Amino acid sequence: MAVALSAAWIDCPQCHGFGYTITPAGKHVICSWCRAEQSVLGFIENDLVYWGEQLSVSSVLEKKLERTINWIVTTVFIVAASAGLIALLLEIIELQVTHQPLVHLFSQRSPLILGFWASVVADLFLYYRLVRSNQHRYITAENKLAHFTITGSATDWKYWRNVPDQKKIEASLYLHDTTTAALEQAYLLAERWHHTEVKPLHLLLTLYERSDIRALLYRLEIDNRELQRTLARLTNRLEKSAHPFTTPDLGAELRRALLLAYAEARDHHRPQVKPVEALVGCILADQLINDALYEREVTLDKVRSLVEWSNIVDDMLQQQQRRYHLGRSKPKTIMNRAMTARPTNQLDAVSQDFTLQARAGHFLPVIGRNQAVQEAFRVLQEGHSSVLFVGESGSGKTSLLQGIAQLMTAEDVPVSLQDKRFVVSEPGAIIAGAGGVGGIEQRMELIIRDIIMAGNVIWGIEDIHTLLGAGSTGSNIDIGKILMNYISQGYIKVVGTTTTPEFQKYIENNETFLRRFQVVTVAELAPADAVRVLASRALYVESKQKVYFTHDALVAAVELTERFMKDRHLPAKALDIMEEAAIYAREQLGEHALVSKAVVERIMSEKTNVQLSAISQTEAQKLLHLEQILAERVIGQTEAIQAIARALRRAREDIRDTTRPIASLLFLGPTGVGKTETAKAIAAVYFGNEQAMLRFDMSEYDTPDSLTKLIGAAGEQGHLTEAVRRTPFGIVLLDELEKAHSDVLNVFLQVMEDGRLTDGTGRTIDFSNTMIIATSNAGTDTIQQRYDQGATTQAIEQELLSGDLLRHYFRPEFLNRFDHIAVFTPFTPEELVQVGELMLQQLAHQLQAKGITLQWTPVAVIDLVQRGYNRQFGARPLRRLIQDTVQDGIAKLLLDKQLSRRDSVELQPGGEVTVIKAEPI
Amino acid sequence: MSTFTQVVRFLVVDIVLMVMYFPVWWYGAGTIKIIRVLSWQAQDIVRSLNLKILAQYLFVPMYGLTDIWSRLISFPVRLVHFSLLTLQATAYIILLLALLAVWLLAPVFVVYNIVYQFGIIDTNIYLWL
Repeated sequence: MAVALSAAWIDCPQCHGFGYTITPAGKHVICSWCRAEQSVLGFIENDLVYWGEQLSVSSVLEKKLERTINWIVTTVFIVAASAGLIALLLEIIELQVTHQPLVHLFSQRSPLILGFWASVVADLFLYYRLVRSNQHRYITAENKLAHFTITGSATDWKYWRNVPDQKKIEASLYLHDTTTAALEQAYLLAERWHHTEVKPLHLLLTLYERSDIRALLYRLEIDNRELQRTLARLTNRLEKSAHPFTTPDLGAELRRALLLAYAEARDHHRPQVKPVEALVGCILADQLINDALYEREVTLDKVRSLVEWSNIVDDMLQQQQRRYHLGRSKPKTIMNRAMTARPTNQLDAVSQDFTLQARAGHFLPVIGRNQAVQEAFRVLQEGHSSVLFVGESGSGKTSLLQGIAQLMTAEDVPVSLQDKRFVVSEPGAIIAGAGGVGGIEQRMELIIRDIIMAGNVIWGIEDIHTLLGAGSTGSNIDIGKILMNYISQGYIKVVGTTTTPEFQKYIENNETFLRRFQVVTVAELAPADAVRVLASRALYVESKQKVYFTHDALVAAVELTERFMKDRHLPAKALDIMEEAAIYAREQLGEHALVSKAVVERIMSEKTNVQLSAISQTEAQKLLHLEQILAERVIGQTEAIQAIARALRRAREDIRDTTRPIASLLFLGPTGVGKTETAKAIAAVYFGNEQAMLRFDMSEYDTPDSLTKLIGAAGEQGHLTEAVRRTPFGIVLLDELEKAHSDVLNVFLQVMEDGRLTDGTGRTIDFSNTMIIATSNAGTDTIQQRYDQGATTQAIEQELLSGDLLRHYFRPEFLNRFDHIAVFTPFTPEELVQVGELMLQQLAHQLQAKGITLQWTPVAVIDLVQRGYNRQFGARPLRRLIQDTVQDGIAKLLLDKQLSRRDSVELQPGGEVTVIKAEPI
Repeated sequence: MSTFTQVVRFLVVDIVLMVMYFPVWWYGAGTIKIIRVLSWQAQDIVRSLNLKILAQYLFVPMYGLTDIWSRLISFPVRLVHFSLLTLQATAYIILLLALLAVWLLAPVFVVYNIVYQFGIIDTNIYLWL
């Protein structure tokens, strides 16, 4: 069972945690050892936890009755309070009628006034009841009070039972009212069905009736009916009481489920155990439930991440409320509370006041960036230091600035940063429109003077690197230097942002700059944090597009972009996909549609040309019958095709190592036997497009310096790396591999091993979504000889791998990197006839577009093949022959106007073509 | 005894205890709660009026103007501003204290009125008004 929490149970040895013993007559008798109290003791993360609340028909009834009475009492008291007011009003009217002064209202004795005062008592009592009924116990950090370590006496239930109750945690006290209600319902359900024991299953069934739990499971794309059927099946298996009047008891399993639910809530800093945590508890404690949900592809992790999703949203709303409350006292203008600030007209003209925007609630919460924000605050508190956030574009630097503004608005910042504005500018706005010699410098000076005079501004500058070297024409000082000068004197504090490449290019070697700024690295968000960011933004996108996301869709958006969009960064790239998927779902499926994983995969497929969507019937068929599909285009080569198809199926089902290329294949064989054709066919089947192929003629890379051509000299892009960067999904076809220089081969050795390559500019190019296919006719003579000697393909492949046949061309470790070496054999005359037919079919297809039909007889084809047969060059001479005779012949006929639409041409033995004119219309 | 009677008995006991605990709660936990709420309110008003900051900056010239005339004008303006806000806060705090007094006196006052209505005592406090 997937129990993430470390939980150990010690059950009462007498009743095994059940709390009751069953007599031979089948009657339930309260356990004489534990008296049904603390029958199950749980060690959860070193705390001793127990379930103290007893459930029985009377206790459930009592609570129900209590709720009813409460309702009645409250209603009566409200009526009494209203009646009291009416009585007072009547008395006032009477005084008015009898012309008595109002001063006498309470001085006189009257039943109406007495009634009024009695109603005031009712009011006070009502308030007392209201406050008391809203009193709950909340799980706090202090709940972790016991800190026991399980020792040798761990199994001794009596020993732990005798530990004073104050040192244990009574989990039932922390149940949310809705969970208590569900638990009572579960009890009544077990009683109605005459079950002997209340089990997690009963609780699950009642939880399942709740709309919030259904909404949660809806996002998991669970088939409700199927799940209900499974649960019903499980329920039928439960033991029924032999005595119809025996009431059920809280079983040990359910106690454990509730204790685990408590631990779950505490671990996620929830104040009370809500139904969602109870659901997790049920899955954790009951293997049957776990299995039933697993069967529906619902894992504990998925449920937990959904619970976390709803928690994120809850926390987000709470935090927003809190910040809104705290931010209310933040001034709405540029003035600070101390009233020492001054207007900053120059600054305001080129920037946005992030604190004012945060106060107005324009920013979404920032997730997973606490460490970077706190580091920035630490730096800003230091004397003359400013902060520079360095991170890849799309990693969330602007969000970080927004997060700082939110904290500053709530004054949730160190004292020295309180009562300040956070104003953010873009260099473009600073530079734009400042004309004339010294215009930009003057503007910069004025802005900085504004900031110094105001004294309450922290200045944010996005893409700060653009300031370095920027200045007006004819000026020999750049505005970056002006900025650094003021920072070093401690007049202003700046929070700048820049991207990693720009940092490396402009700043890394600029010591003057780095003395003023402390770098805070904004690492790309971890996928788990990125999912949380998406979860926090999903609500906004959902309400905007009127659709709903499944949890899998969010996870897929993160995972797929992480895998297939290597040149962009999380969370921005995943957020874009999420939005696009929402728009797509609304447009294609209508409002209130569910944005599932499949929708996200579809969007990703469209963007990247990778077939991602769950294998549809046709695609599955294609993969299952890959051999036939390939065989339609490639004649012969049965064994090679079979091996290739096996390798591709492995790759498509994603059971491969995703850090290496999809597959690395070496096609060996003489010229013209279908190696390139096979590669094209694979591109069409696997990548959905015959053009998804990058072809490199390796004979062009036969010198030592050709390596730089391939991967780029320092600071330059290479042919291969640039091509793969632009088209990262497709086949990299390396023709005539044996002709490449050994240094070039070494590069491919690395590609096949690591799935990536660094180009001349220092960029890492990802090859994990490419398929490397190398073709070579190295050693074909030897291969042919071995065939002639009667060796099987398998034996030859084995010899190739051991390096004997190819040792003159490739090193054994290089050959070993290939997933498969496919040997293409020369065509037999029969196979060549099929090739000839195939070529003629292709030609016929081309002529069809002109309205001309091409016909041929088997004799004509055999004759063609006989004339074009060349064992050494395979099908190439045949193709040339068809070009020279058939195609040329038809071209002449077309030019002479002897051939027009609807006519047919017939290929005759000898390569001649005759025209069969169509019947005139 | 049937389950139902048992339940009813428990509930009756509950209700009796609840009624008896009412005055104890009012002057005990209830008063503590109300004091806490009122003190939050008082702190909130002091915070939102920025009294602490204004007191600290009493001698700092307003709007960053540091010339002598600005300094001369700034102090009295700040003093008046601070005094007015202090007055506002004091008034609000007095109101909160009055609410506390109402809380403490309310049960006594209501009981007095009921007793007076029944004629058990004759002292009419309304005549004092």
